[in-house]
Amino acid sequence: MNGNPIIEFQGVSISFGDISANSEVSFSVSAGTIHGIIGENGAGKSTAMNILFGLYLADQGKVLIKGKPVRFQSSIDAMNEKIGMVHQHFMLAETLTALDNILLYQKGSAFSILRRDEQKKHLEAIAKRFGFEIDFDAKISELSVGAQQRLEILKILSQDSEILILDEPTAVLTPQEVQDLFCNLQKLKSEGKTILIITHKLKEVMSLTDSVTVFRAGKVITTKVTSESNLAELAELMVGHRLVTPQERSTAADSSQTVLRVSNLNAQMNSSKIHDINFHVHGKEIVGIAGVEGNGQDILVRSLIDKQGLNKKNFSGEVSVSGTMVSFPEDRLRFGCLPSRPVWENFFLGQQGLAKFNWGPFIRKTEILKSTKRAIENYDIRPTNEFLPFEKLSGGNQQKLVVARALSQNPHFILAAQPTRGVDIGAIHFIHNELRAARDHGAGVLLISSELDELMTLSDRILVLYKGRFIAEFHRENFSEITIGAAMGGVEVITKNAEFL
Amino acid sequence: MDLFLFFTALFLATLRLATPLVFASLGGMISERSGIINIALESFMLMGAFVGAVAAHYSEHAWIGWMAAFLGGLAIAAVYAFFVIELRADQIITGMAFNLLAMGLIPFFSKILFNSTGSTPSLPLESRFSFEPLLVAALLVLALSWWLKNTRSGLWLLFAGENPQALLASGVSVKKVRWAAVTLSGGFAAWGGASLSLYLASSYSPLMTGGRGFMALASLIFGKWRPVPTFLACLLFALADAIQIRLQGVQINGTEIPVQFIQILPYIVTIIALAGFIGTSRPPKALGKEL
Repeated sequence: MNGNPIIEFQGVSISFGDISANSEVSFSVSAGTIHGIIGENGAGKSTAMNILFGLYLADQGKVLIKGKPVRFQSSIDAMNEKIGMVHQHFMLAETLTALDNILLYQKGSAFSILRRDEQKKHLEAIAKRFGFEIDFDAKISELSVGAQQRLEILKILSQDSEILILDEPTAVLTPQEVQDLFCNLQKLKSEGKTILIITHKLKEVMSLTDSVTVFRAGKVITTKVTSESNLAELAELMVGHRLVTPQERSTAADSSQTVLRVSNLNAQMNSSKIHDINFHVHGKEIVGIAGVEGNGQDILVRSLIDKQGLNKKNFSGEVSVSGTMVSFPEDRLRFGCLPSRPVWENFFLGQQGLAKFNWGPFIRKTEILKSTKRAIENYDIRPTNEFLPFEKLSGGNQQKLVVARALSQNPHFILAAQPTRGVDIGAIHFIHNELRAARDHGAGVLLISSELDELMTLSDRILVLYKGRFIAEFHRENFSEITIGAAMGGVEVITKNAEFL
Repeated sequence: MDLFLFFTALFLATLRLATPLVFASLGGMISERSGIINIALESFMLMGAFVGAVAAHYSEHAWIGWMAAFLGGLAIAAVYAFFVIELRADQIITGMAFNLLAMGLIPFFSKILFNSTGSTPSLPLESRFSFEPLLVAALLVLALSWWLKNTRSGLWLLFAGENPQALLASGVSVKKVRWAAVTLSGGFAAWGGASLSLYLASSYSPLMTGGRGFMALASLIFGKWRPVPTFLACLLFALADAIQIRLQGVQINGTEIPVQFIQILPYIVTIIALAGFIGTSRPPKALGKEL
C-alpha cells in the first residue's frame, strides 16, 4: 500500500462507565482504498467508527484526517470534514419520498422553499455518475432494501463526502444485491473515495477490501493487507482461538418420522402472504427456508407457532406437529423475551408449565435459578449473572440464552427463525453446533434464515421462498450459492427431481 | 322553500360549529406530526376560551381577546412541552393531568377576577366579533398544508415524527422542532377555545369545550394526520353537532325524545367514524416514543 493515510487513529480510548469499549486503538487507512473493519459483536469496531463519525467523543488519543488532528463534537462536524456514514438501520422516513429523504440533508434556512425539480435533476446526475440509480419519486416503503441502501449512499455522495463508512451493509441484501453493491463500491474507489466497511462476514472482506483491521475485545489486534491474509487466519484473529470445523453429519434423516407436516397452507397477515405451501420435516433433519426477507417468512412462522391467532378467513390448510415444539423467534427482543427483566425470568419464560418449576400455585425459584445457572455455564453466557436484566447482555449472549431455553426442553421439532442474526462468529458457531446436536438426538429443525451460508452449512434440504411461494428445492448434494441465490431473486429453477412434498 | 331554509341554516351552523374543531385539530396535527401525543388539547382549548374571554372583557375588543388567547395557549403548551420534551414525562398521563389542571385552575382565577365560580361576564354586543374565524381556520388549513409540503421546516416536522434519528443526523435539533410544534399547537388549540367563548358564545362558561379537544383528536385520526382530510373530518363531526341541535325538541308520535339522547349524536358519529370507516390510519412512526 502506498499513498498517504487519510485516516489515522492514534491510541484512541473510550469507556462507558467501567466498561472499556476501545483501548489504545491505533490504525490507519490509505486514501482511495476499501478498508475492512472486522471483529465480533462488542469488539469495539462500531465504537471506533462512531468516534470517527462524531457520535462519540474519545476519552484519550487522537484521530487525524489527512494528517490534521480532528475532534468531532457531532456528526455534523464529521460531515463537514467530508465523512459520511451509512448506519446499519437506515435513517429514512418510510412515508416520505426518496427525494425528500435526501433533501433533508441539504442546508438551508427553516422557511426556505424546497426546490424539488431542480434538486432532483442535480441528484439524478450524481446518481448516474456513480451508478446508483433509484426512483426519486417513490416512497421509501415502496423501495427494495437494496434501493434504500443505494439511497443512503447517495445521500452521502450528494454531500461530496470523500470517506464513506458502511456499517454491516450486506446484512439485509440478497446475494445479487451484494454483488451490485460491491461493484458500485469498486466504482467509488476508482473515483478516489475511501471506504470503510464494518462487517463480520469474512468472505466479503476477502473479496472486497484492500486492507483489513481486526478488532477484538476493544483493541486492535492487527491491520493486514487483505491479499496477504486468508479466511482462516482472519477468523482466528477475530475470535482469538481456532474454530473447530463442524464434523460431517453422522446420522441420516429419519424418514420414518415426520415431525412437521404442512399441507396446502394459505395464509395472510398485513401485507405478507403465503400460497400453497406444502412441505414436511423429518426427524433428524434440518430443512432450510431461503429467501430474501419479506417474501412471506414472517407469516409462515406465525402459521406454525400461532395459527389460532390468525383470522380464520386469512388461514387455510393443515399444519401438524408431532411431539413437542419450540421456536426461536426472529426478533428475540420483541417476541421472545422481557428485555428489562432478569436473565433467570427470561429463562423461565415459556417453561412455566413444567412440573419441576412449580409447586402448587407457586414457582420454585431456587429450582429455576439452578437451571438458569446450569444453562449459563453450559452455553458460556457472559456475564455469568442470572440477575442481570436481559437487555444488558450482548446480542450473541441473548440469543444463546434463547437457544438454551428452547433446547433444554428436548423438543421434537425446532423452529429456528434467524437463529444467528446479530450474533458474533463465536456464538454462531456455538448455536450451529447445538442445532446439529439436537438434530443428532432426533429432532427435526426448520431453519429460516436470510444467510445463505448458514443455510448451506446446516441444512439437508433448502426450500426457496419467493413472493409467498416455494419456487425451488435443493438437496444437499446440489447446493450452490449461484443457483440458490438466483432462486431467491425469483428465477425459477427447474430441478428434474424436485419433489415438493 | 322551507327545506331550502332548513338546509342553509344547517350548513351555516355546521361551519360555525366546525371552527373550534378545526383550530384544535390543526394544533393537534402539528404536535403529533412532530412525534408528541397531544391529548392536552382540551386544556389548551379551555385556556384559550377563558383567557380570550377575560382579555376581551377588560379590553372590550374581541380581537384583543383573540390574540391574548393565542398567547395563553402558547404559555400553557410551553409548560406541557417542558414536561414531555425536557422531563420526558409520559405524554398520555401528562396530557390528562393538564386537562384536569385546566378544569381546576380556571374556576380559581375566575373566583379571583370576577368572584364567580366559572363564568365570565358577557361581552357587550358592540365589542363582539365582526369577522368569521372559520375563514381564518380555513386559510390556516391551506397554509399549513402548503408549508408541510414545500418548506424545509415542514420537512423537519415530518421527520421529527417519522424518524427523529434521521433528523438529528442531518444536524437539526429534534427537541427544538418539537418545542416549536407543541407550543404552536397550544396557540392554535387556544384559538379553537376562543372561537367558542368569543364567537359561538359571548362569554366563558365552565367546561364549555365539552370534549371538543378529544373530538379534534378524533378528526385528526380520521383525517390521517393530514391537513385537508382533517378539515373535512371536522366538518363531518360539526354536521353531527348541528343536526343534534336541530333535533332537540323534535317530537315523534307526540312524544319528545329526551334531549340527552339527542346530544349523544356527535359522539356516536365519532365512535362510528373511528371504529368503522377509518380504514388504515397510520400515525407518525415515532409518535409518543422517547428520543
